[in-house]
Amino acid sequence: MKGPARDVKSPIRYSRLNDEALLTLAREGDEGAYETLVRRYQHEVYTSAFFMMGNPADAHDASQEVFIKLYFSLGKFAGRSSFSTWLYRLTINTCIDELRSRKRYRNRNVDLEGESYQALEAQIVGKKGDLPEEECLNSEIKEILIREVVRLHDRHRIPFVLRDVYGYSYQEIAEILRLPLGTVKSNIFRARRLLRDMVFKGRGEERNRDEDNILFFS
Amino acid sequence: MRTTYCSLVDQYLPKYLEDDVSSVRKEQIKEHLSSCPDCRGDYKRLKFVLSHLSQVEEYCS
Ligand SMILES: [Zn+2]
Repeated sequence: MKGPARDVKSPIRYSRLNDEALLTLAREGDEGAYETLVRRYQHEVYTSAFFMMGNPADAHDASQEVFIKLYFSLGKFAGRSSFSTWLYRLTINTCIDELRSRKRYRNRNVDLEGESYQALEAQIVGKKGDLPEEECLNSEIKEILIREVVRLHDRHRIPFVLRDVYGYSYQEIAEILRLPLGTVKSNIFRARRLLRDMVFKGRGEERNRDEDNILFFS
Repeated sequence: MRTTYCSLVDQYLPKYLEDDVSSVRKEQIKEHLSSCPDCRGDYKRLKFVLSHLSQVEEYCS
């Protein structure tokens, strides 16, 4: 009889464990520990995937893929970075793989309706419930930013999100996306101006796309 | 009033922000910003958006 040790299996005990402890348990085949990690990070993973993929359906699929990959690569996490950092990288790589496999990265026109933003908002509201007050973002400008970021065309949004939201270097982004450094920079710089104009001038879509192509892609 | 030169300057603003322009270009842009309220506004708004993006990251980390 192990007695009190069994208590660790209760949901409350799981939620008190840190990521590393949960990982250790999950590696030993403890499903509850794995589920706790999924619950702990599902909002963040979904939000990251939403920025990357640009729409809720693809973000949902990518998130599921991330947690499947997590399940099968529990043993691969080497502890060189924090678990959360490793998981974000896994999320971004999963999204990139997905976009690349669909050959959509260069050409896809993202057609977003209000429901996309609402879906993201629902995730964020869900996350807010789990966070202390001071960590919540409630400023209107940030909500507008998020709404507009996902309206950017893939070729602008993806490198831009990697740089300005996740902080990857231009060089890293060029490697992740397998694009020339100059193209990556141009697209990020263009995205910044587009975003500014969408936020401040209330333009609902990317403008002057033909002009962009002439200036940066020919 | 925005001119063609204004829109050219605007295209260089993200590079200018990162100090990724030649010193000559930098002076040209600086001079234009000091004399053109429209472009100065665009420049400020660009900085504003970028400064708030780092906080968007808090959603995700
Ligand atoms: Zn001007």
